[in-house]
Amino acid sequence: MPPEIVIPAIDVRVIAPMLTIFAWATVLLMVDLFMPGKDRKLTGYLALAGLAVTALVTLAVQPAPGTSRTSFSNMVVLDSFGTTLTLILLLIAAFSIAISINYLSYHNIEMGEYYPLILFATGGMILLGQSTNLILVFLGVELLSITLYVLTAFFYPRYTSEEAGLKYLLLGAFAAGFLIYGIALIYGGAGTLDLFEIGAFLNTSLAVGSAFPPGALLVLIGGALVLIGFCFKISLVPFHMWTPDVYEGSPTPVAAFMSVGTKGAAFAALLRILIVALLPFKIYWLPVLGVLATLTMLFGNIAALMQPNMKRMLAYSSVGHAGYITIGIMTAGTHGTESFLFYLLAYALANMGAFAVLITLERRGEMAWSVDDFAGLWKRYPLLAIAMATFMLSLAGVPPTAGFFGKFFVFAAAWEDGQIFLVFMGVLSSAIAAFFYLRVIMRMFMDEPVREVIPIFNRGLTITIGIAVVGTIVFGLLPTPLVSLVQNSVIALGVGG
Amino acid sequence: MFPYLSLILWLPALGALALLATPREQHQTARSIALAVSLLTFVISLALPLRFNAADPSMQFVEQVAWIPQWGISYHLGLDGLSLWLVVLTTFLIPIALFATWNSIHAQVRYFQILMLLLETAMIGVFIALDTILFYLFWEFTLIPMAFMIGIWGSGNRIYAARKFFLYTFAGSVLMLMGIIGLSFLHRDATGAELTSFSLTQIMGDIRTGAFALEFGMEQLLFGLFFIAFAIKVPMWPFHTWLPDAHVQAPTAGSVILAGVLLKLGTYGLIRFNLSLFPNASEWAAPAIGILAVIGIIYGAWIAFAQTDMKKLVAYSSVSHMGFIVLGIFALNEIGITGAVLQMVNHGLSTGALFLIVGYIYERRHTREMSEFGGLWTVMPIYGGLALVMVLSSVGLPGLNGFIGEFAIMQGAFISPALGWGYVAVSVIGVVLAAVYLLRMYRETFMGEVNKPENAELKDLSGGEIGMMVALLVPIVVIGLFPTLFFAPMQASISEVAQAFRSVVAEGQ
Amino acid sequence: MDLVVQIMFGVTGLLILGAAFMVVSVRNIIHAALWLITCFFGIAMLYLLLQAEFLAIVQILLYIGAVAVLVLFAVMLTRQIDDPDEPVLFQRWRSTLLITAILFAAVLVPTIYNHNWLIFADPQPAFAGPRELGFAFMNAYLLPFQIAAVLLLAALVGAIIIAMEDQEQRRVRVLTLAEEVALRGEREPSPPTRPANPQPASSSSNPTPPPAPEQAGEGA
Repeated sequence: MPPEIVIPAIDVRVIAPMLTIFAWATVLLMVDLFMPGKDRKLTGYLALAGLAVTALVTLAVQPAPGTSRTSFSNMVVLDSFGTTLTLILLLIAAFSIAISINYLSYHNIEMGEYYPLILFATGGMILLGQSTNLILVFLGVELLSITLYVLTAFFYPRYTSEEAGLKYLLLGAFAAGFLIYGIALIYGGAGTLDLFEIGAFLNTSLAVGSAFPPGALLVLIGGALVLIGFCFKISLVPFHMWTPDVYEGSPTPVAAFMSVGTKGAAFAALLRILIVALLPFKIYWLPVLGVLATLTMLFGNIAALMQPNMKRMLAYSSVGHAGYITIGIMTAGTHGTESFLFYLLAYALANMGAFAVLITLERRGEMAWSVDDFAGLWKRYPLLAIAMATFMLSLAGVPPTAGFFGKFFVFAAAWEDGQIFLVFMGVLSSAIAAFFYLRVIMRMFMDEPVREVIPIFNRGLTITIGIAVVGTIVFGLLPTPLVSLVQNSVIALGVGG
Repeated sequence: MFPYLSLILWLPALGALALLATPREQHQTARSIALAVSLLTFVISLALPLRFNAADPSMQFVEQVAWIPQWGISYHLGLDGLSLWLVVLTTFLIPIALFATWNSIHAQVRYFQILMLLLETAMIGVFIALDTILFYLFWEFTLIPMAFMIGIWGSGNRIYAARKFFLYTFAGSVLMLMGIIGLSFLHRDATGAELTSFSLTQIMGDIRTGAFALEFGMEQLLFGLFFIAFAIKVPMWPFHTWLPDAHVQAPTAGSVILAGVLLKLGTYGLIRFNLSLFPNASEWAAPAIGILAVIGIIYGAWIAFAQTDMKKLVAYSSVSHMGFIVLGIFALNEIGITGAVLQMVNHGLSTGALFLIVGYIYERRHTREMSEFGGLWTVMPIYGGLALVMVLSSVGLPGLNGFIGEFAIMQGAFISPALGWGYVAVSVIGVVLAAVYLLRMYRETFMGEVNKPENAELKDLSGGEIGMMVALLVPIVVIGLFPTLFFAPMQASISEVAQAFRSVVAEGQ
Repeated sequence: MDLVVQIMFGVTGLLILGAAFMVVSVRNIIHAALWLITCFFGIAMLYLLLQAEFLAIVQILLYIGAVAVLVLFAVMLTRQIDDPDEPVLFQRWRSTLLITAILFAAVLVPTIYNHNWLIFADPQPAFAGPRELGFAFMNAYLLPFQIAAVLLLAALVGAIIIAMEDQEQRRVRVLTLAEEVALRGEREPSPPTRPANPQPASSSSNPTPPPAPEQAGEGA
């Protein structure tokens, strides 16, 4: 008897944000084809409009805190955690596009496809934040990775950009191998790829007998492999080796986009997997993540100390920040989720701002982001120097910046979970990190200029830096609205719960 | 009720904002505005001692507004006998420091004034914040303006000094952040409250009533976290190495504020946090800390004695004097703490004055080597006379302020069960050494023949400079002659601290 | 009938093994690729013999139609196809072979030993035919199916961007600052500072990078 084709009841609201952004990206690809002339700025503005529309759609479908919707055979969920994350990711993408518009033409790498690719990657990130099925998690990772391989290699006049793209591709493929193998093992053990069902399976199978059931063992091994796959994406030590090279070689806006967006989305997916599916295994992954976080914070910050190249320094600093975020997510409690979202936004503002300042100082035909270029910046461009100092202080976690509250919430969540040692390692590495952030500030304010530097300003950069500075300071003084927002962002723990 | 504290707190910051609007090149305007704002702040702050109820040991002028209600963090200000004089000291020293820069800071004047006013807001904030997070915010924010002041307007090895200053204190304060977080979570779990509370008064109250008792090991840990942060700031031996660098490279006004107020943040924190929150651990640690303090006293004095640079000498004398203050605090009794608080004010006044004195001569000769001078008394008699009074005040001559404070500290340490006479006996050597090195400095620079031709033509102090000295001299003499005036308002609060301390410790045993 | 099938199975297996051996041993890379296609065909035949027609077609479509052709194209675009000096096997092939064989055996032997060789008496109906697959795609796995389409689109666009060679200015080597400084040092002894902006007032339509002696034009 041939089955009838019955398309199951679907709730388009659940995928509305990513549907919007994918549709916009596809249409934009075609619009770009018919656009006359060589100037591609209009495509960039249209992409920004697409992000704005997606944000509006996200706000429109936002569920009440604590409620969620699932659809497509429970493969995606729309919960307030997902929508908050989506909004943050859209902001990150908007910053990236705003700082790209003039960058591309200035460096002669302008192609209209750049913007749809950013939108596709953003869509992949949104998908990662919402998916509750490992197949979709894998597809999300691949979608954002494949677009980023291309974007990394986008700076074609530079050999290093190609090299970075290749490096990222190879390591990304390696990570994808771990990920897919782990997913296969989990399927083999649990018989399902649905996160909720995996969680239920583990709960029942671990509860039944005292012995470790073989199915659960497979899930454990698979979970470890999935974790390794994610560690590459979020560049936790010792899976971080690609980060500085790839950031350095790729176009600076892409590096900025990767340093915040990819991390945020991958962390969100990992958090959901840990909380929804693998919570019964917390005794296993907690120490592992603890060790990884400690190594990451210490190594990332110590390596950043040695860097005379600002872009590499920011890359290592992003490695270090991944360590702090790991502390936030590994507690897997409500405060952990909140601190993750808060930290992500604070870090996004400061890091995007810092990369934007880097772009103002980047010159055509050069690839040296020497800290020397910042020397004496204050005497000639005081506002730029103050903006950069704000970002550096926020990244270092000095009040009154948003970065301070980010660190505070992360440490508070860790203490609440009883991870006192991790809090100690966290504050210790913050003290180390202060070294190199402070060095940049000192160069800007207290040194004489080393060479003539003429910053490039344009609307996109100025607005990005402006928003980032204002956001960093306002949320540093008055984080209350943001705290309410993240407190209302709850991860759905069950279907339709 | 009129929000005095908020007004005093934010007025300098508003002044800094207003300064941003002034034209960059009009240095005189910037100086005048900053001075006017700081003087206005001082005048308003005089209302605090006048309206202060000396009999009331609890917080006064309290303001509380919810800030991050989800975490129980509030904008919570208040003043008690402990912080009263420190706030007034701050508002008093800032205009003097600003006035001292009138002729010595010529580059980027406007920004200097802005930083100074921001620093004033931050320092006042530390003294009056009653919410631990708010306290931490102000505490950290004192770092940025000071580091910039040293790094931009300092001399010689200024960048190194600024970096060292920032990193030392930052490393200490992140540990304090850990302590603050831990304290609130432990408090939440102990009291069964739904939300964390970062209110210092609430946590302190619960400790005093016994509603919140810490396990001893945890109390030791938290005590240690706070202690390191404060000990670096004080600075206690062996955390003091940033201080001489920072002082020597800082501009005069920076040194005055650094010695006058910033170091007091550390000792204030020791009383407000370590003593009040962790009585058992305080008692446990008091002998060891007393030893560190005594080492600091002797070491600071010894190194000061070996200095030929006057500013370094005064800087090391600060290490020694701050050792006395810590000793008084960890005597753990009323008289010791009272003496310590008074000595904080005294040290602020007399060391600030000494830095100004060194600054005056440095502006004239661009050197601070003692061997470069001699017989200044004959060339600059007014200068010599004022300098003598300040040196004597710092040495602790009876009749001037320093004597009262040091005497109370010694007395407190002597009768303290935690410390005892041994500590006093050794620290007395520090007093003697202080007399030796300060008077030696005075002799070498002011006494004797004018042996350098450059010194013969030096101009004596100008009217403004005399004015500053006199302004500092007035409280120095008044405290020396009428110490009760200053003791009275702090008595109630400090008794409360000490009594609560005793009762908690007694309960624990 | 059964015997015929078994003989065919054996012949096919030998064919696959032989083809695989040829892939790694012939000197000409194009020939190796062609042998690879033969190998893939053999596997498709095995699937057919096992009554998995759909899998056999997919095997031919994907592995021969896409993967092998891709390999062929890649090989043809490479300049050096046949290098008589290049040894076919690299030096440590024996130890490599040994290690690989041991690893492979470590997986295979226990599997074969433990496997319950359940042989159905009668052929079972195909449970994953194209029809079921199609229904799964349009039903339970609708979303992944669609997302995969988006993924392919993005990958396609990206591939075009990476491979596009039409711009006249592409792949002009741009010097790094260090190289430029080194170069400058050769020309003139120790310049105090570099000029304000190395950017000549060239038009934006024809941007030239800073003067580089080795403008390695790599593009065609």
